Amino acid sequence: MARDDDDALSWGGEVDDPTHVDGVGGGRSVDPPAGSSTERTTSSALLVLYGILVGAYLLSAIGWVVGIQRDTFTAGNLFFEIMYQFGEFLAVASPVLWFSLTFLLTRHSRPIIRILWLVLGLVLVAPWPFLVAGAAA
Amino acid sequence: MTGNGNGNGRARLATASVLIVSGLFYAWDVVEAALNLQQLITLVAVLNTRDAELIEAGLQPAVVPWVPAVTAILLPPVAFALAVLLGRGRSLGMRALCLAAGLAVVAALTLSVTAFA
Repeated sequence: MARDDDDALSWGGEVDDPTHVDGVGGGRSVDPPAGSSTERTTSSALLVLYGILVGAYLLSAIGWVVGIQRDTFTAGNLFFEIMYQFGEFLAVASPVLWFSLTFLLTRHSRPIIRILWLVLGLVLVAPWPFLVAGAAA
Repeated sequence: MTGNGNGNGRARLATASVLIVSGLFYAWDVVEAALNLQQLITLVAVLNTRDAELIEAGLQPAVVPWVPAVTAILLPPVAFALAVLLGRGRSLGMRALCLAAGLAVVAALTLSVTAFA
């Protein structure tokens, strides 16, 4: 009788089958390692945050373009005018340059450090002439 | 050994070139801001004579934007120093990027403080 019960736990004579190979699991738990779920959530949240920051920096650059198009200032001579327009070009490029520099310099830093630098940059290179004019309009 | 010495010499020359060229742009920002301050001082001298008339007429005298004018002079040297410090011990490309970003931030902040004036 006991022999019949043991037979019920085996399948198609697998015990005697020389070609049978045990599965990878081998009866062990297949639960994900502890903490992996939290890490995945954090990185997703970070990705969303980076996406928001990229959008804000892009809007910043667009704000500078619009703000500069509204600027009616013209310098006295050609050299001053060229340098003034070069300054305006740099102002448009400032969000892109700050973002790139922050990403390159904080490659090995903690994400919070990178985010803090990015937020600081967002305040520093915000298109204030456009924002102030927009608020006044 | 000589090849290595030449390599170091070239690297130093390239670093010095980047520092000098970007330094000239930073210096121009200071000159531009100083010229603006000089014009402002001349304008204030004219306004002072008018202020007495305005006050007599019961009007407010014009507010002189001293803070933006002085900030525009101080920003470039501070940004240049920070960019040089940040780029120390890094590759030439990173140094150039630090200096370019500093120059761009100076340009953006100068326009911004003018907007607030």
